Amino acid sequence: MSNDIWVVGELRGSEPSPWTLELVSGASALAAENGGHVTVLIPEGSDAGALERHGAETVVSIAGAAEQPPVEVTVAAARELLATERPRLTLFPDSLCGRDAASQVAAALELSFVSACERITLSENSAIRSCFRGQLSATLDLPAGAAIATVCEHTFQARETREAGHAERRSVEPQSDGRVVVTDTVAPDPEALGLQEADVLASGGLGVGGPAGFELLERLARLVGGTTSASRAAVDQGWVPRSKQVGQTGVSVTPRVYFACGISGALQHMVGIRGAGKVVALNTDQAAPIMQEADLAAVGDAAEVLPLLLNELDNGGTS
Amino acid sequence: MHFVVCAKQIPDPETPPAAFRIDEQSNEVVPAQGIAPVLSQFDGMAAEAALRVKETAGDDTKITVISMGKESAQAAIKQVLAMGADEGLLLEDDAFEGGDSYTTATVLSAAIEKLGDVDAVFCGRQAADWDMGQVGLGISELMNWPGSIIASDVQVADGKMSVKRVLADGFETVEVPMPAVVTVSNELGEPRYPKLQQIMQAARKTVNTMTAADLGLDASSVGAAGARLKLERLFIPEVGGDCDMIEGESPEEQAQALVAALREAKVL
Repeated sequence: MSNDIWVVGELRGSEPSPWTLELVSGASALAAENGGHVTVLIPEGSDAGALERHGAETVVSIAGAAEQPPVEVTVAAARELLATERPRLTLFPDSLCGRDAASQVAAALELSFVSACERITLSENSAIRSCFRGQLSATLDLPAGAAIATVCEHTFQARETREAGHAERRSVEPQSDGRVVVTDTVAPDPEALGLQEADVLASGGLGVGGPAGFELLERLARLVGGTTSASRAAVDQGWVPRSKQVGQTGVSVTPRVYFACGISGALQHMVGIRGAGKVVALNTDQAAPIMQEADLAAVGDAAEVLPLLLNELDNGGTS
Repeated sequence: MHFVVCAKQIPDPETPPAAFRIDEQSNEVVPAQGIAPVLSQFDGMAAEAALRVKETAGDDTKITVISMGKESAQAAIKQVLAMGADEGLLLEDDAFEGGDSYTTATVLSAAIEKLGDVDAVFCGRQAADWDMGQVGLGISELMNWPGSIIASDVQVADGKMSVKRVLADGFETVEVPMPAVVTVSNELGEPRYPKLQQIMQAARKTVNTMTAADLGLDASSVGAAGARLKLERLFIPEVGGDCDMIEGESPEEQAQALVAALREAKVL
């Protein structure tokens, strides 16, 4: 039985996404412990050197990927290759497209599939993931035969461990079944890119009370040299545009400091801030999940405390 | 046209953490006393999407809401009926217990096949309890129908379904031939709230029940016997615990203490 590990990667622009590089490093570490060969399957045109430096031993590029719907062409390639290669484990990023592709491949090949893994222990054939809004954790079986897992961002650390130029390279040219036709795409929002790169994020949820709360957060962001972001609940209220949304269906962020004001911290939000440095929470409910994940927290009404906090920061700035 | 909405009843996700209990023998969540289970939130949005299409497509469109679960799942079915669905179908059998996303998709697909004339299946993006997000695509694969996930808008015309999919940094609209499966996300908007009269009407709508035998399913292919995913352990995670709580009686004191703590931690 194979010990091999595959990573099905995605591109950001024309490069392997940072998430993909994390998975390659993770796969490489798992293979170092348990044996096996690390293969990366990725749309063509990306920098295979970066994948090699993170531990890829074989890079299989998907030819013609740009001309077909991205998820469907990835599924077509992965179905074909995994059916014959039967690696012990195949990792996808738990991104929207990654989970979509992984679900389809797992269902088609009748493989065990665990989504949103936060830890993988191959020696015990197990994975750990959150459920019930992050209030519970579950240990699930990753059977030794062949399994598929999608992995949360920042579960593994991207590390360059070797020189480029040694990996075997080949390519496949799959055809998606053509049933799904893309008729329109809305390009990435530059604002969303701004969130990904922000050093400090002043983020608001339902608890900030309305657009006025976001004006306070704008002031906070200006004072501390950052930008504002929001939870899904605040976006759904129409208080801020969707390009500001942090979380599972929004943007994953990695600021040095994340102010979570009036955000309860639903699991879908927390997965978006796993890469944040310090989390500072301000919430009326001491039992809210965000308070357990935060480094620094105050129990209070964001609408009430924020103006005072701004005053305090203003004063401090001039003294 | 005939649409199916898949609905799951789950423990209320708003249950306060302190009320959570786990039965360590069965690895199941013990329902909290006095907190009624609810319709998984994304399934309400799936129903909303189906109802919006029905409104534009006309009255000859029928919506059947299907739930796999215990007798108590009738409440979730009734809720979707009150929103405007036409018929309910409860898939109830002891053999269905302890399954995973795959066996759930197997049971739901068998029911969809049994209905015979289904043009589209609407599921929630993921159940709000386990967040697995696999049942919709499982049905799509088992039925060999195209599937589109995380929809923020669904339109139907000329035997095709047009789905606006949510991407991490934008949207994408795809078109697929029907029959098709779609999973619906919160970006679609809030599900409608039934009026009292609709709730009373829902009580009179038909809810059929089917078992594994009715669906022609072998007990070994469903529930715990058919599951590929085995749950080893369900537990309350140890949380960081290193959160510094800011003291302060008044908001003023809290603001001062927070700024002081931020400066001390060299965050600012």
